[in-house]
Amino acid sequence: MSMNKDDDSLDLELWFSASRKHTHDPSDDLLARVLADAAMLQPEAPGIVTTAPDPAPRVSLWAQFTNAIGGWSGLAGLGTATVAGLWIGLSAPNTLVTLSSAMTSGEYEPTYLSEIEDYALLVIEEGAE
Amino acid sequence: MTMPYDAVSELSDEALLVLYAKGDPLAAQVLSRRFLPRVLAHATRVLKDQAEAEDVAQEAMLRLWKIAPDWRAGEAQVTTWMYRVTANLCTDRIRKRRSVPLDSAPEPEDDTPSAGEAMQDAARAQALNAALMELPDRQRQAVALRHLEGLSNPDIAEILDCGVEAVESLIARGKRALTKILQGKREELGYVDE
Repeated sequence: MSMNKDDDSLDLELWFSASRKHTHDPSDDLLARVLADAAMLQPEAPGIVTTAPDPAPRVSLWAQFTNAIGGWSGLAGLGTATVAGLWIGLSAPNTLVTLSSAMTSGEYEPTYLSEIEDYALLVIEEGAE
Repeated sequence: MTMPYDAVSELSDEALLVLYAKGDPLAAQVLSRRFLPRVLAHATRVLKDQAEAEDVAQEAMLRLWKIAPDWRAGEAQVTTWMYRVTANLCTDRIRKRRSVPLDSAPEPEDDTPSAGEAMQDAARAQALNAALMELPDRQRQAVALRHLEGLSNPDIAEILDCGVEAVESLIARGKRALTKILQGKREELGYVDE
């Protein structure tokens, strides 16, 4: 800190020097008020999130199920399989019961088996020739 | 991301203003610790009223926070700008006081004994501050800025919004008046030419 050293200040410099030694440290209260003003007026820093982020969107049970089976294509496949299973379930037992009861009673001779048998005999005969 | 306090405290005034405007939480602390004591000291010397000086210092800092986002680098020194704001705020306060006679301005708080250098210094400081209060506002500000705050005459000219020659004149007249006022205090305070 440079001070004037002209003739007028020679006498006064001691007084100025004494005054400069007298510090004016701000009180804690004043500093707190100033910092509160600063915080109130400070622009927000970009990238600093001051509000809570939006919560993750809620996923319904149906959406969770659809996702679990692979989306809409999985759902279509499941539907097809269900209808097919239902059709098989509704139609098969009658045929099955008929077939099984006929076979157990020995009265059943499937046509296609006799046809295969005939064909096999024909092949054997042709082979023999 | 924020910088460590030590790194921030070494930055220039303008860099700190930029940081503050970008939301850095430490910039305000460093700027406050750098400027608040100086503007408070000047306001206290000029106003001779601690409560008023604190109000002025807080207001000066408030104006710094407000201008920070629009601060144009290189146009002015932050220090000079701060003193200018403080000086103007002090002048406004003094104008409002005009109805109060000068005689009612606060006197030194007590008759400090002259035993001991520290006490003598304190007494001298008080006497000088009281003598400063007898000067016209602009003389008081010019002398305080030059001889107590250590600013250059061109800086003071900018702060007081006048020419350098006018500042030199204000300081010269102020010091002559101070010398005259303090002459009578020399023996009282044990002052001896050294």
